[in-house]
Amino acid sequence: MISTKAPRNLFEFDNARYLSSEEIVETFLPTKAFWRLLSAKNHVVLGARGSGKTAIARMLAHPQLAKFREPRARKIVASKSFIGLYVPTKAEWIGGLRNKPWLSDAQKERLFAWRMNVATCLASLATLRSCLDTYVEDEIERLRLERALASRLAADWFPDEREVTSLGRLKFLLEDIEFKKHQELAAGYTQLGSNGASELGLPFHVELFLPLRRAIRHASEILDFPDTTIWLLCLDEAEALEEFHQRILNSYLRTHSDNLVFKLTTTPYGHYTLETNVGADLSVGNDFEYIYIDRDFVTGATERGHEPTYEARLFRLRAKHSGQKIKHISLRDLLGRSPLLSPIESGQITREELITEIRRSGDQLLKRRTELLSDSPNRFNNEIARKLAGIVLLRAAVSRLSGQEEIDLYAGSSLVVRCSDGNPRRMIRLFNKLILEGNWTTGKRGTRVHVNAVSPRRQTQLVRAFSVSTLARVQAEPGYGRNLHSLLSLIGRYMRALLHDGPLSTDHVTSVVISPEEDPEVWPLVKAGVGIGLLYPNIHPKKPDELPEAGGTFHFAYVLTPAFYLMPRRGKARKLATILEVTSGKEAGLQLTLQLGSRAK
Amino acid sequence: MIVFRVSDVQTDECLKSNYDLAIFAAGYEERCTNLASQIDLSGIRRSLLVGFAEHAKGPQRAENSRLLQRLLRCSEVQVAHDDERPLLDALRQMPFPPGGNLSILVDYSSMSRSWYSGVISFFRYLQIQSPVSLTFAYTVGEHQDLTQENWTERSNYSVEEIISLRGLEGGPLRPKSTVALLGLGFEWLAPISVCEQLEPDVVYPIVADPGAFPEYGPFAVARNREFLQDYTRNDNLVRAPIRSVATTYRLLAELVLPFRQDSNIVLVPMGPKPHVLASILLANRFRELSCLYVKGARKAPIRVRPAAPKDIVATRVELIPDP
Repeated sequence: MISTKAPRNLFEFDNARYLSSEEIVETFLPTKAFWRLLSAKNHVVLGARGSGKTAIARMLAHPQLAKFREPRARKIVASKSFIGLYVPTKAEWIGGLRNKPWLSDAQKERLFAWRMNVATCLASLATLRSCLDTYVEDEIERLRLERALASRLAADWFPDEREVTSLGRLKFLLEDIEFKKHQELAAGYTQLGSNGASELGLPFHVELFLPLRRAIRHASEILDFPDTTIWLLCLDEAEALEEFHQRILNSYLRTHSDNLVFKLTTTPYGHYTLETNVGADLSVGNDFEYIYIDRDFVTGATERGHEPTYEARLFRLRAKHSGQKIKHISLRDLLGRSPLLSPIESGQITREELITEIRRSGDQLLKRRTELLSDSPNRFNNEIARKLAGIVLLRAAVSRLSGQEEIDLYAGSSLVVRCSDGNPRRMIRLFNKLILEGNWTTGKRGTRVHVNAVSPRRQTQLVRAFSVSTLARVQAEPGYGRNLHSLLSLIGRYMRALLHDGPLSTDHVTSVVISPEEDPEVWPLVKAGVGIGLLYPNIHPKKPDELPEAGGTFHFAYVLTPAFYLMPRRGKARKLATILEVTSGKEAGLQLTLQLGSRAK
Repeated sequence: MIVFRVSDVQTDECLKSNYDLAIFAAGYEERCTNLASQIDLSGIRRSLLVGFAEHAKGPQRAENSRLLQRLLRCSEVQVAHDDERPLLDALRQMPFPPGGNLSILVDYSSMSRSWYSGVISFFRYLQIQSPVSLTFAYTVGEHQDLTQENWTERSNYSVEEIISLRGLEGGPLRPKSTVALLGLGFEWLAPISVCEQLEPDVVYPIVADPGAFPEYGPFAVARNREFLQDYTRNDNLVRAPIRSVATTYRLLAELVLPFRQDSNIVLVPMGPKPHVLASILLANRFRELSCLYVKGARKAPIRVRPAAPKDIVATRVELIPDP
């Protein structure tokens, strides 16, 4: 169906949840992880906030996949090999499970299973509607099958209801039963002091996912699906669940193996436990696999540009569907070349100036290497200039900072992309801020729009403000926010002091080595930092989906580098203990109060 | 029972009416004793005094408790700020006659929102066949640290958890949009935290303006400037008066009505208590709405004294048996 709505500026919407079904499909860029998920395995997708988990989960669901024009997706839909359902476990839904702390574990489990059964049955209706629309062309036949399906499902879910002939009616009944359940619980709680026992909606007070599995069986029979069809239950935002709830889900994954498989999305370290309630832990590799999506694509080729990078494609795709004004612009048109990441190419500094600065403020090792390479310009460029030119520029600019003085180095398309850490939400937020600053001119006939690049100074102001604000907002994270903010500030200040106050060196520090044994109080904060995409673990290239569980090296998110005038480039690592020692010595009174909230596990 | 009508009441009428039961709370602020000191106690048949179980021995809290016990001639039931069950237990012990209209007074000036929400739920589900009239009274407060610097330093606020108020969990998850009505207070972190957790599609920020004093509305807007810039689109800011719960209730109702059929609607009141009350009442009126509670912690209590002895916001809520 062609949408009759006028196109919106899609850069204003940084979350897949804000997009309509059509917009999701139009702006979706499938990554390797997406195609891996279309398989008959249980998966837990790990990705920092904003990394695109919801977009992936929504695209796996049949209503979206059926509209996707990509040939591989079309084949999957046509062959009915995978049918996906999307279930968001939104915070407000979880809030209704967490507000009854006095319930026993058995009562909590019973309530969770009931609500999850209702939620998954409700989600199945959207998918069944999509299946009917996709696979049954004849309208009369479609109505007949919908009637048969609704009647069969109603017999299971609402045995007392007569004449349920549409999926719409079933949706109403499912919503109604949940409202009534809450009211019954509230009445019992206030009038009797009862603790949550309620027999309303008995067909959902059964084993977890049984009502859904029966629905799948009915649908497969009525819609004539092949036996090989795999149903994907995409449970989004599982980090909002408590460990207790995840254990219940794990138990299911451990004990069931049929045509219903699970795609859970959560933050890194947001799959809190492998424990089950059946005596045997979940086994990674056998019962399920992790897919870590924070580095699901390779960045960095924009400037040299043969194959457009993920970021450039993302920008173009959004621009294309955002109306006439933005349609034709590219990142390079809007932002230009980066003075900090390509300083020599952009004429910001010459080789001679660099050598002079090294002689003036370089450490002994750097000076010696520079002298040794004085007759080898190519080696000097590759081994020293490439790493150091941006740093020299940054040091000089920051040393001149005073009062009204501002810098203009955090600018250019590759820098903006770098400072979004490959996180689509961050990228879109930054793109939108910069698009709003664009100086637009319209062609003679008013059809073609041209944009003059935003000035480097203005870009820097916006990128720095975004960076500072990203750091400040860490304080808003429930439970651990204040402590994580202190930790990140401390690390950033240490790195800044090293870069700007010490001698010039190629050993630029941007990562932290952390060990749970040596830093037991900080380790939960580091995991929380990874969860919100402000720290990134160094991942073993042969185990790209395995997060370090026993400590490791974590690099400071590039988005935070402008806040501390750091270089957004990968550098060396320092032990956290060293940073704490140095910083606490310099800044008396700066203490981390590590009273951790329960969420920072 | 259903919430049938919400109306504003004149302070004098509130102070001189007769009540079958009056519920007072001993809190940490001076203003919690104001209503008990102003009201004609001879019009109250029975009193129930609840007090915070946490930090019950703090000097101001203990002084408030002593004064209220002496005035009301009853002992205090201690209740944790987030667990209203002892309050509900006490209400269940009360002999409410099955016939005749009940008239209840609730001084929520220093109550935890889970308490007054619990009181509403209690009477909403009370098995009687006659209407119940609940009069809510709130003593308007004057903050003693209201500058940006003082507030930030004194408050040092942090968000701990976001949960649903009991009985106001709303409905099942709808895969479509989420609309959030966020009441803004002076803590800039709280609405950001809520939006990062809920990721609503549409946000209506609500600020108390006119507030307790003319400068309070602009102060709340200034404190939340970053949130308003980055999390709300267009000019969605809603200004609702602190002194009329009925007006705020109606404004909120008008905002949610277009979304009731398809969207998840979430009320997250973080502003002054009259706005919290309006949100709770609305969630009691429309079952699709969920009302969330942001649990936070402060380094030190905020110092609030009564703005003026008779500056009381009184609201009458009529509950009638469900037709």
